[in-house]
Amino acid sequence: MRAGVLSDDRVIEFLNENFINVWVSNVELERTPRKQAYMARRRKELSKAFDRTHPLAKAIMEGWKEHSPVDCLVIAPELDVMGKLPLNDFFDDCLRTGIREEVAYLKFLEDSLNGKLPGFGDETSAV
Amino acid sequence: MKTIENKITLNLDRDAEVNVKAFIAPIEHTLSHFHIEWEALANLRVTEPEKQHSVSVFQSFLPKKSVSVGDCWQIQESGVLALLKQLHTALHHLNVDDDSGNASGLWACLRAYNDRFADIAFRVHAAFKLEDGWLAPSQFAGHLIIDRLEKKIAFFEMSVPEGTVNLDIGWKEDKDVSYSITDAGFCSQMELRAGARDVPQNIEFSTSITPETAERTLAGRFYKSEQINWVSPYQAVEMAEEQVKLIHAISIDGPLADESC
Repeated sequence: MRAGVLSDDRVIEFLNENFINVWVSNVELERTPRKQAYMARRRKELSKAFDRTHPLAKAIMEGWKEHSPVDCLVIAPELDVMGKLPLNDFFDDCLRTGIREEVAYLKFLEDSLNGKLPGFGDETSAV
Repeated sequence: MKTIENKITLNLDRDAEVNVKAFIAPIEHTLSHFHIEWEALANLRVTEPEKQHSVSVFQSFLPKKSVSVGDCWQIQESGVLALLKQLHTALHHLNVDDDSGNASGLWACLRAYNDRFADIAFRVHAAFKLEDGWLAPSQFAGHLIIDRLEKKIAFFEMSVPEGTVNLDIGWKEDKDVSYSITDAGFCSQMELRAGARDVPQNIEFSTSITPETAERTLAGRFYKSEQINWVSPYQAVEMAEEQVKLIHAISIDGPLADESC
């Protein structure tokens, strides 16, 4: 992803202009039982690990799609999820439709900004 | 020693030798317990705990022309190769591009200098070949402090930074299949060092950028996605409220800005 849409000039410019950008670790959010067990052993040594009880962490987990390894989300300052994009589904859709990934990602971001709630037709799970 | 318009040239006395100590702590944490189940990883140890290197090894880290603070240049492979082989004999790759989103390379940046010393920050991506697999640290980061008057190395440190995970691991557990299974984990110390640790703290530089700025500058040489203004998740909500913006969040298995995923 970092070598794809996140390295596209137009996407970078649009993100910097319109969003506060963060990435968070699925390991620190203990997304799977395996990651939960790892963090149980590691968390005491990690002063900077993201606290999964933080309100933003809770909003992110609310936007997860079950079994998705990467989720891209747009979240309001009030912590309502405004857009959801599970990455594997996104790649499949781009392949199926022939739409370029950077074009499709910009549309996801624009639709989120315009309150169209992209991704809300899909089922999500906080795992 | 020359200074032209805030640019400096860096040289080393080619006859000198440098004593380098190497450390690899036993790997104690992996998500899928490869550090217990895979013998090569369980027994990973440093090849040569101490070695005398020719100063030419460190000449590879120096710029070929004069540089200003914040300037970046590519490190020559030969010196890094010699040092990494002190850690582990079998290098899987050092400077190989692939199409999986991994970023290779060896970059240095002049972080600071004064009349006597210069501090070069650097970042290297490399992976080691193990029996039936490979091990890719998140990155090797470090700095090289040069005594410009003596043309000697005052301090050198190159290590894998801490993190929730700082290793990407591939194991061909079943030799009859073509694929490897993968894991991620943490090693508390994978490091090469020359000189006393208090050397950097006792130097006052007259011209400098912060270590964080140097780190970000170097990261940008590896990943274009580092041009995005990433902030800590702890800052995001407050910034979104202040700037009346939405938060764009990516939830991902490994760090976006290193090779541990």
